[in-house]
Amino acid sequence: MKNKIKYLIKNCLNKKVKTKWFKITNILLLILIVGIINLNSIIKYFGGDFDNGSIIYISGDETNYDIVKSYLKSYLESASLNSYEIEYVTDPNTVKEDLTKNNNILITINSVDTTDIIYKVVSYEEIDALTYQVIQASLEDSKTIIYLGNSDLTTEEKAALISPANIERVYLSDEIDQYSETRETLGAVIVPLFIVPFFMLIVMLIQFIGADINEEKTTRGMEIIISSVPPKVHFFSKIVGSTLFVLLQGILFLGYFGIGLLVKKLIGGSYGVNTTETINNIIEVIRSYGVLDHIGIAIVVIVLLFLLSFLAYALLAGILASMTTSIEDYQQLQAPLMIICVIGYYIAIMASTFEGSIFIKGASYIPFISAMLSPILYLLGQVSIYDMLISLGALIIIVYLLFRYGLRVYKIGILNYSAKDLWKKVFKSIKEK
Amino acid sequence: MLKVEHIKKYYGNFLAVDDLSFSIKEGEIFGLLGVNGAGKTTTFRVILGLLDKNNGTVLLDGKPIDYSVTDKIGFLTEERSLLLKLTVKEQALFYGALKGMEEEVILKRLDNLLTRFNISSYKDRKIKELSKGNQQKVQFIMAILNEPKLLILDEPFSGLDPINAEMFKEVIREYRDRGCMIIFSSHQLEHVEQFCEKIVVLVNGKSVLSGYLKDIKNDYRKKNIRILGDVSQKELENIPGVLKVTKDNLEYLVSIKDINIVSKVFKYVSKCLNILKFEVEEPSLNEIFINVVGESYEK
Repeated sequence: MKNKIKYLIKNCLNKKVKTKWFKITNILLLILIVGIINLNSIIKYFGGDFDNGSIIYISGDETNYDIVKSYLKSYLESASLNSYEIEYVTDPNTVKEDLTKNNNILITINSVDTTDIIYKVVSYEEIDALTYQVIQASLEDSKTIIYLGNSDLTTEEKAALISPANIERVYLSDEIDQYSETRETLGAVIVPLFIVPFFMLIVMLIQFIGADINEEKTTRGMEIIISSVPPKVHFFSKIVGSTLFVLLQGILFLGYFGIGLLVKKLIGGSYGVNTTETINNIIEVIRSYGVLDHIGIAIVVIVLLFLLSFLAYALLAGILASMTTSIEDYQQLQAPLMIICVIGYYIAIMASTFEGSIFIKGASYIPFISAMLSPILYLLGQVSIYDMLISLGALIIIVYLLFRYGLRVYKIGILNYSAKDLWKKVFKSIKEK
Repeated sequence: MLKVEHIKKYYGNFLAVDDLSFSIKEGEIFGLLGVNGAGKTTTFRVILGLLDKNNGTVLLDGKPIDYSVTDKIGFLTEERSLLLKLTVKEQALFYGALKGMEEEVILKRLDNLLTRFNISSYKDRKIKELSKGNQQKVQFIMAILNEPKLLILDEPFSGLDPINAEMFKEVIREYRDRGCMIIFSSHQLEHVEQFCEKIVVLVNGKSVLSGYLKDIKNDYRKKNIRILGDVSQKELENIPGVLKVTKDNLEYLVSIKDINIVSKVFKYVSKCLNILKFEVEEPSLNEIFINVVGESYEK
């Protein structure tokens, strides 16, 4: 019988993996994921109006040109506005005609005296908000530097003036601390990173199991199968085979994500100006909750929560599929399962907004959605490792009950071809040993 | 030996099989007959262990049928039980593995059987691409792939032309000669008549007629007389004990109540001219079946 179990699991997995559609889908997924990660580079590669080289002409007081140019250059770079060139012109009238092309801009510096500088920004049409902000910030900063250069202040005094203000942030409320703002970022990062792939994989799992069982059931092949192996073995092999497939697909997703990042690095893209800073902040926040103190056990619990949740969804989908008589019926019956998953997804998104919510904490103990909520709340410092263990315990109990009682339903359901008195049959089979 | 004793199966309050008993020896073909819904498929499912029975025992060689012996059983379902997306080879590998067979053995037997049924070229074709008759051949091949000791055939001739039906019969006889126990169900009673040594006729899950076909026919009181000659249909019908007279081409087929009526009919026919044939026939299974099932419905 062991060989038959192994064969059935392998068969279930191969039926999904060794198909041309699996290969085609994964090639498409790879292309799409790498593409999404490198969308900036792709957009730039194809060019457009944004890519036409524009010139910022600077005219007027030539002595301050270098200062204005250096600030402008630095701000443009940090805002990734790389299509601009900066050029000095002695006579602004010579470029007036040129301002009608390519969104070129003219800045004139008019030093009235040592106490005031008047800038003029000339363009043919409106300047986009970001570019204008960059120009404004550069001119303000360069003005400060120009005045400082003309002043009698000592070097230390000048350095003190231009150094950033030392601000100590004090929160009077006990509920707010220095990490409050970063916490929101944390929620925004973790939800798409963990929950979206989990949600996608669960949806795949539910659909695969239903299609697989219904295919065998509707062709009466199920009678031949069940006359050769017990329903328990068949059920188990379907659950394990489908869960393994989903895990394999999850690993491939991660691989494609890694390839996407690698490609981004190879083609010279950056991960964003503030990425490293954001990651450091997030780690700092997580550390402040004491999460890193139990990181080993937390990882084990989170992995178990994910695996057992896959198993719970697979068991429930298998039971439902056995009760239906066609794939169309199953598609209707799977809707409540999807909704449970969607509820978990939305509560997870809200977790960082409604900090300390009793409802959300309570929901994190509920099997089927605990894998989406519990890890998020733990990383947000809203539940402890013990709360996660309670969620895990509840999930283990549900998986056990689903296997024990679900198997009874499955045994009756897979050989039932009539929708008449379906629920009566289901409840009756639960009572039967 | 397969021994089915006093099995009962309820679906809720509905009694699908009622105290059914029969036995099949090695090398015997057994016919399980009945109209649609009589309980044939339920009986097959109970024998295979697909359904839990409410009462009775099913023993194969003295042991209850469980998953330790199912590898020795072959089953052909009435409806298609093939996975249409698979190729014939993939299907054989799948069902063969479920019967505990090695891949090498499966492929060797498959090649032999495909050749035997003249469908070797379909080995790598998807089942959904095959005609109904060829799908039935593949389904039959899957049932005998494991060279079963007990072969259950639910309507095996469905969708087959006479040539292919003859091919099936040949293979079934071969398996019988090898000592395979075969349970057979068909609505085409002429097939059953050609094969089965023993039969059970089910009506509403209950056996209304059972035993060796030869004995059943012998014991069956009603007989037929076939007459060729110048006789009057009306006068034949007037003989007491004659149930019905029909004209079959040039011959008259006279159904009589029992064997004692033969002498009365003969007495009349001997007075007639140009008598070329006077033959007493046993009734066909079809006739017995209609009679028994009809009578049982009337009760």
